Parts: sequence; structure tokens; C-alpha cells
Amino acid sequence: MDVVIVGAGQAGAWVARSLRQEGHEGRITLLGREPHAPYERPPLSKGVLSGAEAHPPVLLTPQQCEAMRVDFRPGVEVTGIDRAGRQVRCADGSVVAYGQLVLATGGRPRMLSCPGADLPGVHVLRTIEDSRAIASKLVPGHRLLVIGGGWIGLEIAATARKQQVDVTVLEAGPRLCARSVPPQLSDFLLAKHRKEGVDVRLSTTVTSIGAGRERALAVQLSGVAKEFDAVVVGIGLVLDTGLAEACGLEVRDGIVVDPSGRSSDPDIYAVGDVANQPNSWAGGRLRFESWANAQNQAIAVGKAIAGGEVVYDEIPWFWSDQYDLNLQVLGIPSNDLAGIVRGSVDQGAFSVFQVAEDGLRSVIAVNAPRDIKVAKRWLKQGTCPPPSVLADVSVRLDKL
Amino acid sequence: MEDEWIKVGNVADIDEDDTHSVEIDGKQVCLYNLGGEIFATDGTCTHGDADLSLGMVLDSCLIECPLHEGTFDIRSGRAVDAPCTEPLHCYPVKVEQGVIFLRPVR
Repeated sequence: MDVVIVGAGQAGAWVARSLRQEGHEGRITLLGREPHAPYERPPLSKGVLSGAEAHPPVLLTPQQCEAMRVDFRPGVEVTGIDRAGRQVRCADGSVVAYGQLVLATGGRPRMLSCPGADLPGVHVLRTIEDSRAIASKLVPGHRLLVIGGGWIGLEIAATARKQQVDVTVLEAGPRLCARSVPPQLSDFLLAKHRKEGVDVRLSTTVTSIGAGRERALAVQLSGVAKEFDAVVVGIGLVLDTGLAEACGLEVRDGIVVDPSGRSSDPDIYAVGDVANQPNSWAGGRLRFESWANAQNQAIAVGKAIAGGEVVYDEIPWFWSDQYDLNLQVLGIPSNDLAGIVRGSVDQGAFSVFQVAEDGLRSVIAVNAPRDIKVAKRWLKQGTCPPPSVLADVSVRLDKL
Repeated sequence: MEDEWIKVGNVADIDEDDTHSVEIDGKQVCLYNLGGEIFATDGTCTHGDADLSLGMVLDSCLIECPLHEGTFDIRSGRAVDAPCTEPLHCYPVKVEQGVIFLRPVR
């Protein structure tokens, strides 16, 4: 059976790897829109942006493609899926036949809709080129405006501050990272960024961007004009579900898939940022934009296509690196649950355990990665130590 | 230097199924106690810049990276779970009267 994978990011590349690892013998064709070998995106807002890493880690080198017999085709734009004829059409006129098709199309950065949003100097971050373009603006003393107080925005802000860039972060909502962490953590992140010298403005929006003096951009912030040398917009992802919709697959906040990653067409799978899958830890369906989900869901889909019985139901988990902080989030935190704090918030080394009546719900760890790993074990076992033990730093949690 | 056995610590410093970080010539090395037997590997993950000594020992033979949850077999350095694909360098160690010696061969 020939497998065609549309999208060569973290998810697409891991499907290819997993298929071969699971003994799939048929052809594997991996179609990527970007001109590069598949690579990992997390360093684009950190090491690649600061210049510490010349290139992010490559997921499939040309040598690995050859050894694994993966027909990787970069720079290919897929324009349509012919389900009856079981083939995909590409912008260059070529067609690729499939036995099974995997959609790992991810998405594109959401753009601002205000006037001037398309001016030169207004950036987004998704690709290597985006990262390098922003990096060229990270000059000490330059003024950078980051629009969006989510993970990408905050990581860019942190990297820019380390380069002595003058950074302003705008968040339209009343707190940072509100979609994924409770207020306690938003407050911690706000205090950290302000301490590092970032001008964070909450409940503030951009109404327009225009040309300023000497190539600067004049930005209207909630009605007040301010000049910046560059603007980065990090306000979320627009999913690339167009191909799926056009060929009639069920799409509802992403491509709807079953626990093995199969869409409403049993010969078409979806993985990564675009896949909307049942997840018991989320208490319903979940579409999860994270590096780990893209990798692990893709490995599961590779197994499923290779003939294994697969129920992918991983505990949601992601991380963010900002300044000297490694922050990891396990499970889906609730805004309504009080957290049990372990460690020292002031010293930036602590975990917050959210325990509901039916057990452990989520853990957020700042510079305490082992707490996440131990808690993952507890969640899978359905156990959790009492609050007094969780809060007691003299107890080694991994030795319980 | 590579032929020399260097004293790097004591068995008593490392709990069973635990890690211990040491620095040799400016390089982080991670020591492990697997059921009383001592092993040593490079201290940094081959995938990202992560300190393996902060990770957990699983199944009494794997080290799990504290950042991205890839794993290596501590005894051979083999990359076991994603995202790790490059093996981890292992060092020869010996124990004499509770003292751990390591040969820094690459």
C-alpha cells in the first residue's frame, strides 16, 4: 500500500519514520511546501532566533530519507484531493496516487486585520525564513513590538530581551497565556517579563500600523501612537483544512479523526495541529498545537497504517522556554481549581498541582521537570499523593 | 588522559535508580546507579540542550530526558524513544572500594 503524506513538518516527518519503523513496505511520499528538509520548529523562537543555533534539528536528512526509502519532495503545494481516484494534485500539475493519505498540513500564522498589517517590518513566525527575518531586527536598542501575549510572543520577547532589544508585548485580553494556564501562572509570567524589562500591556489592542520616521513603524496602541523598528504578530494559527474541506471530509475545529487518527474517509488520516481527536484527559475532543502531540500522534498514525491496533490518548503536555525558565504543562489546567504549590515561586522553581475531586487534573512545573514526569506516571495509574505530601519539598516525589 | 582512570565520586553519592551529575574537563557527565551497578554517559541529551541528570530512570535501564521525554538505554547509549535518534556516548567505569573511576574516552 502506498502512503502519501501531505505536510512535512514535525507530524508529517514522524509519520514517515514511524511507518518504516513499524515495517511498512510500500512507497512513502512526503510532500512539503517549504524548500527545506523537515525540521523542528521550537528553536525558531529561541536558539535560531538568537543565532545560537544555525539551523533547527532536522527530522529527516537526505541520507535518512534514502535509507528509509522516503520519497521526500520539498517545495510542493498540494492543490486538491481526488478521493474517488485516490490521488492528490499538485500546483505543478503532477498527481500522486495513494493507497492511504495522511494530512499533516498544520496551519499558517493568523494575521492582524487592522490597516497596515501587511507593511514591511510586520512579521509572523512559523518558518526558518520567518525566524531569520525577525533575527535580523534583534539589534540592541531597537524597539520591537510583539503583538500577542501567548507562548510564541513571550518566547520571542524573552529572546529579544537577551539581545538587549527594547521589547513591548501587547495582549488584547486581561492576562497572558489565558487559553492554557490559570491566572496564578499568568501573573507569574507577567512579573517575570516585567522584571526582565519588557513593557507588557494587557487589555491593549492595535488599531492601525503606518509608516513612521526613518523606516520605523508607527503603531496605534488603543488609540495612542508609538514607534517601533519591527513588529511581530503572534496571535495564533489559522488551520490549513482547505484541502480536507474541499474533498468533503468532516472538519470541525480541525479535521475530525477517530482514536487511531482516521478521518471520516477510512483511507485518509490527519495528524498534528490540524487533527481533532477524542482525548479522555481533556474530557472530550481535543485539537492540540504542540511539538509533543505532533510527534507522538504521528508515531501512532504510522503504527495504525502499518496495521497495528492503535488508540492514541496521550496526556496533553507542552513546554515553553523563556529566559532561565523551563515551563511544562501536563493535562488541561482549570481556571477554577486552586493549585497546591510545591517549591518556591519567588525563586522560579516550583510546581502547581491541581487536584479535583476525582483526582489529579493538571501540573504546571517551572524549572521542575521531574515533577511533570512523576505526575504523568500518577495520572496513568490514577493515583496522587495527599496535598501535604505534594507541598513538602523534603519528600522526593519520584521515590514515593 | 584518555587512558587514565579518573576518580569521579562515590557509589554512596547515588541512590539506586538515580542520577548524579559530575563535570570532567568542562564537560557534563551523568552517573547512574542501576541496581548497585554504576554507569556513565554524556550528561547532555543528543537531541536538545538538556541536562539528563534531571531526568528520571525508567525500568531500571532507561534515562528519560527531562525536557522532551526521549529515552536512551543507559547501558549502551542506544536511542530508544523519540525524539532521540542519535546514540548517547557511554564511558567505561569501575568501582573500587565504593569509589567510582571513569575513563574519559570518546
